Amino acid sequence: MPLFRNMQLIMGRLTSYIQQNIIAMKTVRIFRREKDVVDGFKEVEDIYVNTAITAGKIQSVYMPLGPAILTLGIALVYVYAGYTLGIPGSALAVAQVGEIILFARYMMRLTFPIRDVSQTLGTWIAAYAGLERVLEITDAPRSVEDLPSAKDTKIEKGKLELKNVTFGYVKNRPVLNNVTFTVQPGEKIAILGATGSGKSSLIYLIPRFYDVQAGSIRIDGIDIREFKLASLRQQIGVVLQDVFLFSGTIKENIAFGKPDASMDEIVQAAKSARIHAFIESLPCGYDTPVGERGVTLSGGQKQRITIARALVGNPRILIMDDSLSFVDAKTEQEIQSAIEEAAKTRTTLIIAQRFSTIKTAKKILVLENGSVAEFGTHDELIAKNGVYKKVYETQFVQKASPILGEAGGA
Amino acid sequence: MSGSYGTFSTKQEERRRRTVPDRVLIRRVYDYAQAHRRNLIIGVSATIAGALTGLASPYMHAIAIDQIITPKNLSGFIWWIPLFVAVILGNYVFQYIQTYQMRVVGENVVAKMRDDMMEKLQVISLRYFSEGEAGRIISRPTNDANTVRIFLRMGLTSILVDISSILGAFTIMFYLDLRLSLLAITVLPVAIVLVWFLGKYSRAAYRRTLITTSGLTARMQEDLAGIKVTQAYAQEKETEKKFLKSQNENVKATIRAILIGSSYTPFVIGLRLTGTMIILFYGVNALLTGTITLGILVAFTEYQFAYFMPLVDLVTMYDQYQSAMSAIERMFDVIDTKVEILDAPPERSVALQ
Repeated sequence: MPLFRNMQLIMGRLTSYIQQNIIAMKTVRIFRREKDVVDGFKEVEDIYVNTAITAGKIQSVYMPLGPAILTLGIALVYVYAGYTLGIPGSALAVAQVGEIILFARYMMRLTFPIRDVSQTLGTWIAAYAGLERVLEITDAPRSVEDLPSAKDTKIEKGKLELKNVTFGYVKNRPVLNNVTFTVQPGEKIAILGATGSGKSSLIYLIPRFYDVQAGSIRIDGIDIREFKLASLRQQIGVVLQDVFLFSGTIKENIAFGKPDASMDEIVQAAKSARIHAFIESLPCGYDTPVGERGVTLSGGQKQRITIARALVGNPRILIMDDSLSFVDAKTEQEIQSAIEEAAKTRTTLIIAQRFSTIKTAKKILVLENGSVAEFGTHDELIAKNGVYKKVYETQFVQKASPILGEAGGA
Repeated sequence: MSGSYGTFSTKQEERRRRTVPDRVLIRRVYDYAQAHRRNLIIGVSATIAGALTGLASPYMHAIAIDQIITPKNLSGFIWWIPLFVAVILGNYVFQYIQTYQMRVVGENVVAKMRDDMMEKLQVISLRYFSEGEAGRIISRPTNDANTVRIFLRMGLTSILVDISSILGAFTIMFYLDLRLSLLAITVLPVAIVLVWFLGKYSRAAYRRTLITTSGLTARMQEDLAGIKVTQAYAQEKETEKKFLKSQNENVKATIRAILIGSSYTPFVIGLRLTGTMIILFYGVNALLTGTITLGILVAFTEYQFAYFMPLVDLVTMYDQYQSAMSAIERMFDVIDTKVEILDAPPERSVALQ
């Protein structure tokens, strides 16, 4: 019954329309698309109502059909019995009227099961369509898996080597093309590039959110695919672009990657992320709940908690995505010093948006259309007179001059 | 209703007691149904007619037994068969009309409510959409709307059918034999008390399934939203553990609710059989003394069935009715939310030059 399948599909469309609208409400408001949203929704809604009513038409024909036919059957029993009784010399006597009634009543008992069966049929069709969609998820192949030879390996130094790395989300459309560079243990690298240049994809490859399609990534000389996934990820601190905190206490959030972390470790991480003083100022301190029922944190505060979360396991390698774009100048400097502190002993990759981040980096990696355009220190790249110098002059020198001034001019 | 943040910002909402009286909610849903008044009137009439024609069938059996089969008056079938077929066909047609029309009304009413919610969501203050709230807001036009949809489609007709069946069965029973009827309803008070008593437990268990379901949904929403963080910190197992905990709570609560719900059945069947026994015990004597006929006795046992089951159904329907009312209230919460930032009327708006 494709109609019922359709109904489920359209119901799914309706639901995802609502979900998307609510999740993207801010965007809808900013672009004043409220009317389009409602119009679009009504269109889907109309299709849904029409399909549901057509399905209802069919259901209303067959649902009462079973009991109706059954009752007619009972009538036939009476008629047959009546005629048999009427035939002269028939063996049936009046005493057997009881048997007829018994028979008819047994038939009537079938009414409910038959009604149930026709109702179950509808449920079954819906369940089948639902099952198909569940299997789509449970049968989906895992994109990243442990190799049989994978080991729990401790990252000692944190040397990071990318060699001819090619990667894309769709076959034959590489987002990263033949990327090669090496980061020495403890070095801090700022990654620079336009939107779509492959910055995020590049750093996602290191904790193996995705696997490279060609080339290799090595940590301390060992291919990251030779690490057990859990072991690799536990030793890399990641600060993602969108700050996400789970509902729970601040403590639980900071210790998310290491649930058995000691209070000392947690406080140490919070101090490094320059959030300790703020947490202490909260009524319940580290036990203050965040999220739906908890305190409302500013973007900058969340940002610093996610940094603390990344630092708690004391990882050798730290990866940050656009992580400082939220905070104000004062907070930025606080975090900057924290990162400096952390990065002293850690290999750090930061997708940078501000010059203050870039200037503290040992080297700068400029990505262009998925390839390494330039890689070197600030001075080297300025001397090279290429993309970096252009970006530096047009974007950073004017806008960031006060910071540059503080830094004594670069 | 609740605090200044609007009614749908507290997590305790599922437990929260309803504040709007049922009749206000019903009145407002009825206003929505006004646009499909014709369908509603036809649907309700067909529902009642369907229930009544359904009741005609045991009486027809009584006639067949008493006036045709027992006296071997076979020519009676000449009028009995067409009449019986007409009753069955009529019943079928009424049920068809009922199912279809109530569906038209139900789908359209819920669709209109959903449209109104979506329109309102576009203009209410953005702070409703603050982080973590999305899941709960989404459930208004989806889960709640679905609960109401199913209730309007099935629950409402069931209630109508049940009430007309009970009233119809009583009328016919008292018409057929007063003393037998009075005896037949002796089990009624016991049944009502018992079902109501069990219903208390069942309702509590049912509410618990609702709470655990919403907990599970919230958990899932968060797990999916935070999946990258979970992967980045290799906490898949921990996350799964927490999810399984929520899931187990939900499964346990559901099984408990079903267990309590199904404990009705033996009691109900027992009571119904007791009723039948009383009828037969007295009925057989009456039959032997010739006070009633065999057909009427047979019909009586059918009618006893015809009022008893709807009665039980009606009591169990209470849960569905309650959850539909809560869902309706939550949907109106959205529709009624005050808009804080309104555009100035056109004559007062200023063009930016």
